[in-house]
Order: sequence, then structure tokens, then C-alpha cells
Amino acid sequence: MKTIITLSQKHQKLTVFIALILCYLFTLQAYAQKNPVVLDSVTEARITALEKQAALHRPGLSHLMVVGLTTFGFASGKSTSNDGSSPIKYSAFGTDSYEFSPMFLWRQGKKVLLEFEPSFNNDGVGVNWAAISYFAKPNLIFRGGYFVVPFGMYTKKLAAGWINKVATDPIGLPTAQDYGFGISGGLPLGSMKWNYDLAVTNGLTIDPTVNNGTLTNVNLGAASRNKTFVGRLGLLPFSNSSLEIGISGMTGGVSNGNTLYQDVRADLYAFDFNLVRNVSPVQINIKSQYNVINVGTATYVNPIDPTKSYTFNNSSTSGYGQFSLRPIESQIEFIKNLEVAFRYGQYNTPKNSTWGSNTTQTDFGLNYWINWRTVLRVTYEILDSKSTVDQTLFTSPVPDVKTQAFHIQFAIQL
Amino acid sequence: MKNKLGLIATLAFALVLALTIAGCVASQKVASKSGAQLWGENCQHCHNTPTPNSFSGDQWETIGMHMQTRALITEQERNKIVEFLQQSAAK
Repeated sequence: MKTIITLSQKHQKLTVFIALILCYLFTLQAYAQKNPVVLDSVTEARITALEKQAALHRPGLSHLMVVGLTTFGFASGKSTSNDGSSPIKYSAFGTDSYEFSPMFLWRQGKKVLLEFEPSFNNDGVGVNWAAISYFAKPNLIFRGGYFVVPFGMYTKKLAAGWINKVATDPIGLPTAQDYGFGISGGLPLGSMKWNYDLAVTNGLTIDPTVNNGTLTNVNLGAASRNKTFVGRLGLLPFSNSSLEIGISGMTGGVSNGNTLYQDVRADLYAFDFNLVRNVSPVQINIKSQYNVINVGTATYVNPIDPTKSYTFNNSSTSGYGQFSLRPIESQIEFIKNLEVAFRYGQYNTPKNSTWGSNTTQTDFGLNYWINWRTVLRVTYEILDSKSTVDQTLFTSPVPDVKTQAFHIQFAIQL
Repeated sequence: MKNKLGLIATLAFALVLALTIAGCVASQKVASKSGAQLWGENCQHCHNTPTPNSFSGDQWETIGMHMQTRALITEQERNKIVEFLQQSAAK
């Protein structure tokens, strides 16, 4: 009983004590609210300055940045033909490998991205990319403007000098950029992934400057309602994204208002393959693309006798396979940064046309990676072209030509 | 008749595509991948893997969107990779 009374008294004392503490705290708080802490002018000025500084660095909804790339090189080569003429030797800075292309990326929030890439290269000043993308859904991007058409993998993803493994592009790649509108997206598929990239563009036309069946882009000079539909589907069957296989198609009329070709269509398709695997102690990189270009039958004016015409099966094929190897786990930094590359390509243009040939392209490359986006490379390339033209369309025979060239190239992503 | 068939085929294709897209989900194994792992796997598919301090956090956000349009990585992959690069760049 005594113990219980003692506890109760202790309880009372504790309660009174806590109540007093709470009263003190409430009074203190009320006083503080009524009489805020007065800072001296120096501290106040410092806080204001810091707040301003912080505001300057706070990220906004818009963000503009410049990336891009440049490649710079030197090429020396020799061209021989089987017509008995002397070999042509050449050497030049920038040949086939000069490009300066700053890329402006302008992000508006998390939904809109503008990409603009002017380019100064072997062809002069141009534009590689000028498009706006709207990220509508996690797996749906709308795109409009001037962009690389989704056909094959090389042109859109692998062509940049600092990405490519040898100094030149593979031969026979079809059209690159065009004006149009498209949708694209990447999606999971269980342990796999797939992606789609579809577009409708101004498309292709029979090149009006030569009228021999070769194709060129309509660009902004669209003179008909013909539009080209183009798309690529990609599948990454392994969960580590090491392999991607793609299939592409492109179809459209090629007349562009020229009644001579009003029923002529071009149908193109491509298959691509990209494998990158780290197999200790090396990184293996295999890339490949195969393209088929079929253009409908048409008659063309004989270049020797304009009163006559000729025709041919306007079908071309091209493709390349590339293998590169890098000892990424070497303990010696110099060795680790080295990469050897080999590429073989073939381009067969229509027989009995004025531009028919069977050409092979063989490249041996050695790259030194200064860092992840800077490379110094040497490439030895052999281009061997056997003519398949209709010789009756020429006043003198078209010879076979073999070119051997040595390239030194520096490429960097800016 | 030919036009009608073409229209029906196009609509059917669009429907199948929409349903396929809507039904696409990642497996547990893929969904649980970290940003660092995705960074290592996806970037090297086309080019060397970039070092995180190559760009600032804000720049990685923009580059992430740019890469999504080019490489067509999924949005979840982009978000994880960008978050990893931003955190690593800040260290």
C-alpha cells in the first residue's frame, strides 16, 4: 500500500514537472514568433547573396546544350584501271573523312526535345538533323522535321566518326536523311526488348539530273503526292541487350511528277545485325547490314543517241560485315586502348545500266582510343570495282577500277 | 475494293501493334536491373560506355532523351541510366 502511495506521489510530481516544461516551451515559441531573431546586416546580405547564387544554379524546365562530333583525316591512295592508263595517285587532308558537326540539343521539360545538327563535311555545308521529338508516352515518341530515315542500323546509329570502327562508310548504303514525320519507341518484352521506328517521308525519286535510274531524295522539291513509307523493327533477344537484329522496309513511288515514271515504285528492304559481347579478356563487336533496292522497270534515254531508249532490271544489293576486337581487360593501358577491326562489303548495281558494277570493299583497321569518345585510327582500304555496264551506251569502254587507300583519322565526340 | 482491303489491313496492323505495345512488360529479372548495369549493357551496344563526369546532371537529362530517340532504349532504362549518371557525376 505504501509503495502504491509513493508511486502516485512520484507520478504527480512528474506530471507537474512536465507541465511546467511544456508551459516554458510554449511561452518560448510564442515569444520567438512575436520577436523573431534579428540578424545583423552582414549575415542578412550573405544569406540573400547565397539565395541568389542558388537560384542561378537551379535547373529550369528548358535546357540547351551543344554536343556533336568532328573527324579529321588524311588519305593517300592509288587508283588503277584495266584500260592501260597510268595509275592515279592522290593524297589529301580531309578526303572522305572530314566532318565538323555541332549538335544543338534543346530540351523543353521532359516531353519535348529539339535536335539540330548542321554539318560541314566533304560535301560542303549541310544539315544532318533538324527535328522535334515529343515524348507522348513511355513507349511512344512522335518526331517531325528532317531526320535520318529508319532504314537499317548503320546510318542512324553507327555512322558517326567516333563510333565507326574504320575510317570510311560501308559502300552502297541507301538514302540517309529526309523530311517527314514518324513514331518510334522501345519496349520490354519479358526478358527481351523490341523497338519500332516508322516514318512517312517525302521520299525518293529517279534522279532528274542524270535520268539513268539512280535514286535521289525528293527533299523539299516534292512535286507529287507520292510519299515514302519507311520503318524498322528491332529485336534484342537477350536480357543483357548484347544482340540486336533488325528488319527494315521502305516503299514509295519515285516519279515525283515526272509522267515518264508515274507507275514506277521503289521497294527497299534491309536486315541488320549487331552483337557486342565482353568475353574475358576481350570485347567482341560484330556488325552487319544487308540492303536490297528494287526499282520498277522504266525506259531511259540512250546517252549516245537520244532518239533511242534502253531499259534494264533496276535492282541493287549491298551489304557489309564488320568484326572488331578490343582487349578491354589488359593490365597494360596502351594495349587496353587498342582495337583491331576488319570489314568486308559488297555493292552490286544493276547490270546493263550506265552505272552497273560489282564492287567489293575490304578494310583493315587499327584504332587507339584516347578516351571513350576520342579515337585515332589508321585504315587500309581496297575498293575493287568490276564494271557491268552496257558498253554500247558509251563511246569508249568503261574499265574496271581498283583503288587502294591508306587513311589516318582522328575522331571525337564533342 | 483494293483500297478497302488496304484500309482494313492497316487498321488491323495498327490494332495488333497497339495491343502488343500495351501488353509489353519487363520480366522481374530485367525490371530489377540497376542503372549502373543498364549503363554498362546498353551504351556499348553502339559506342564506348561514357564516363559519368563527362557531363553535368542537367546535361545527362537532355542526353538521356536524345539517346532514347536514337537507340530506342525503353523509358525505364533511360530513367535509371540517367539517375545513375547524375548521382555518379555529382560525386
